[in-house]
Amino acid sequence: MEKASLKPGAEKVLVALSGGSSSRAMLQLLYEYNREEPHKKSKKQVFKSVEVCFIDESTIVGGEKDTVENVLQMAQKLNYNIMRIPLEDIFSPDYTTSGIYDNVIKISTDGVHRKPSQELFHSIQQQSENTSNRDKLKALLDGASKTTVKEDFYCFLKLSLLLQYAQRKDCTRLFLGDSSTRLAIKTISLTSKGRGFSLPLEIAGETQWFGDTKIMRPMKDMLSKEIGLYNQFLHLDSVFIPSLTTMLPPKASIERLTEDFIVGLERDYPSTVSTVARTAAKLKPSELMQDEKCIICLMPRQPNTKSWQDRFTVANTNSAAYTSMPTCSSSFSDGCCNVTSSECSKPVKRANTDISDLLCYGCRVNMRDVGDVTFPPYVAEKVNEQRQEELRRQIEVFLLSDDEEEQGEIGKEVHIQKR
Amino acid sequence: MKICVLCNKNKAILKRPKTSQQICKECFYYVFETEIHHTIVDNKLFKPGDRIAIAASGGKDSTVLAYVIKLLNNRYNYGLNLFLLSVDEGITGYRDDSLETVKRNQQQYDLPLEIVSYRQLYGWSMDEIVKEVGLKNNCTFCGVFRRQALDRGAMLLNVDHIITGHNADDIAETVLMNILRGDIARLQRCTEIVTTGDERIKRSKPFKYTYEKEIVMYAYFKKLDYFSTECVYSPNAYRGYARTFLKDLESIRPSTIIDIIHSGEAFQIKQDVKLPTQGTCKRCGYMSSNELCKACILLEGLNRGLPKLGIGKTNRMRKIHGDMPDNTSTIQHLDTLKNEANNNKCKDLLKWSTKTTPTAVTQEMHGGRYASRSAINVLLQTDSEICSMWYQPY
Amino acid sequence: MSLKVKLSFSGGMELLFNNNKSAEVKIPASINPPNPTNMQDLIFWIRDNLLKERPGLFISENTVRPGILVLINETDWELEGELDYEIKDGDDIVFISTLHGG
Repeated sequence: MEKASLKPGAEKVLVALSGGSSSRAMLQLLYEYNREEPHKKSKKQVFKSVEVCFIDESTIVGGEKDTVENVLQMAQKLNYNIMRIPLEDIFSPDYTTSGIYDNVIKISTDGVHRKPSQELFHSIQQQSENTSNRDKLKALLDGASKTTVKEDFYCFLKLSLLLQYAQRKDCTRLFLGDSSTRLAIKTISLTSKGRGFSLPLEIAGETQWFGDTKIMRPMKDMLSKEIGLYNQFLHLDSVFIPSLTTMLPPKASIERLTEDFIVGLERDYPSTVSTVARTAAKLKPSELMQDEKCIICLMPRQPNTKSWQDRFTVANTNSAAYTSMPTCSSSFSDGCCNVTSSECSKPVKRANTDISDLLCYGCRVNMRDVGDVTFPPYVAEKVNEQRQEELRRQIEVFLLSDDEEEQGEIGKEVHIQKR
Repeated sequence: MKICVLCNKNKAILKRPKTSQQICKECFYYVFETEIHHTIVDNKLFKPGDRIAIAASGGKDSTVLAYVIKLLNNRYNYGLNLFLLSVDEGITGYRDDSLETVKRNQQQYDLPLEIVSYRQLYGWSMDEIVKEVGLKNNCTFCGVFRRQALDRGAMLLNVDHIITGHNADDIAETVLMNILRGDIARLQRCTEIVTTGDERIKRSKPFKYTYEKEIVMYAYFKKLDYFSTECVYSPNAYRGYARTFLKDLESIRPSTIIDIIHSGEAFQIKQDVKLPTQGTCKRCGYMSSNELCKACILLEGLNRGLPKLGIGKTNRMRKIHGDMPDNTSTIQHLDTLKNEANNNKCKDLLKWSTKTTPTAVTQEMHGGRYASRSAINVLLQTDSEICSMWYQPY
Repeated sequence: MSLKVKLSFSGGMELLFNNNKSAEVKIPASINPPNPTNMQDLIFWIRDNLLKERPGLFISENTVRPGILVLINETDWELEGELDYEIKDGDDIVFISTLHGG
């Protein structure tokens, strides 16, 4: 069971502990693996230190009263530092890269269709006096009309918190407890949500997508059943963390339906999970993958997905569409009508930007079921970063073309200056 | 009453799964047809003068396909020569009835029809195969035989391209199936709109982005005549799971179907994963990644009374029963079929060239629209009169 | 009081109804008094009174099985409120299966 590939070194690592059986087992395995045994020379401490982080979702999903206490004890028993971060803290400026960014992203919808007429986002200063972070989180989740989207948001917020915390603690690895059962479910559900592009990263045993923080999934080859047995034998207690779809019928969300589907198939065809996991492991990140992150889910953005959809979606019947090449170009792929112009002309104090091109395909699909919402500061910060990056690139192109045209001293000078 | 969001005039009769738009009947026809047209143009599926076989089963998808392609061919002047191509598996109470539908379609759409039968190609009808192998692996036989049958029919029709009615739901389902089965080679291929092997016949799916729901709606409102009965031999249970799952997903989020195709198109396979290399079957000349193609092995098993041959136990069966005796009947070699088809082409060309002008014949020779260059060469070698006529303009 | 409704089954649905492609039926104006009969009631009524075999191929989770199209007076039922649509006298309701071969 300890075949999870870890390289020795002097690194600090962060373990994401939900308290569920998989992350509980992972914590134990890591403890055993990293334990120094004085009488055995070969057994040395692999990691400099281990931090544990528990994202507390109880304000949203509820749960047993002693859950929090139980989870904290799991780590404390092993003498690990554990940090409890309430999920709503995602609205605190602490959890941004800079640690102080306090703008939020507000989406306006046109009232008629309950849909963003265009992804018009206002980046505004957060007003923290009136509403608590908890209410802000609730409002964000309530703004999504479908459970599938709420679950997605949930997932993104947790990941974002973990990454920020890992960075703050200088941890170079983040350990997630996804079991092979969970990853098989994710493979199918991510595919179904149009996230095939980023799928290889989201199920990888190790990925460097997040630069300084490597994400590790050491439990990726273990079935949830095996993990259950392991915990049973070692008498490891785990807690039950209710999810957004607990007690709801299978069709409550894509994730929930997929879970039902895979678990049911595994019962009738016991190799389902391992086959799916093996298939998914044969996928590689696309060479089209650049450093462009979706501002909401932080996963890579596939280029040109908007035009991809426009090509076979005729959303209006104006004469232009009668030409042999598709020319319909509603800015939002499922925009019912072009209300964008009226929206654009509305006087707005803050600068509006269409940020739909900063979203990945999957998040754009999600936005169809999102009303008026305010995204936490990390999103606003990402928008800012991406815009600056874009600007930098534009300037670069401009300078380069200058270079070509003039072919003179000035061009060279600029080039040198840049370096 | 809900008004169509596209024309703002008529009563909306349909909610589009792709866009959630509520639209009226006329606008529905327009967007449905135009999207297929865009798919065709964007992917450069056709060029003027192409001879296209529409794989026609009599079911909803192929019926709508034949109707729409004929309509678009006229509307946008694609300049295609269209044919209907059907496979007769020989299943009483199913295919015989659906072929009647195809024959009616032939009349309604005024398109030439070619029917190739399992009996004629392999010497066995599905009914006979089921009698021999029972209801367990019959779908394997049928699937393997059908693919070859279509290609062989296309050669007989002298077409270079078969279009099939696979719709977006089918493709999404196949993506899921291939993940579940671990078929990485097919996972890579299944979202391609055009598949083609070296000299073999091109296949494409103009309905790749078209929802099943809309196809059925279109057929219903246009009152198209289609056949809708499940095959009498039990359908694939595992596939049934995937279908139910997909339909449940669609009811949660209608765009899932397109979203899955989007995922499928983005998948890239690691380089070190071995994919089978394509060669040709040494017995019948059909493409195959092994020495013998699956159809030849299955047929050998049938003819030798060893139906398990080719179903997981080939090597063991070979050891026990030895190689195939010489007198066993096999599938006609593709080269023989090609020669036959070529001869037919030549005869047609001969007939045609006496009725037209030398200029037209020259154009044909260079355009290669009517017959392939090899057929023309054969013709030039065998018929001196035509030969002199062809070279006259030079 | 009762309502006269025309029901049609196609795309393979007819097989569940003895190969009957259509039926003129009279249904109570209020199956669940005091509420007027809606599509939900009608679907259960069809299951109990007309369906000949395999109810699982018609109903799933109290609505028609996914993959079955429903048209109410030639209009997609998704535009008419689906299960909440109140049946009117003379309605023409069509069930089409999309699941059969292509």
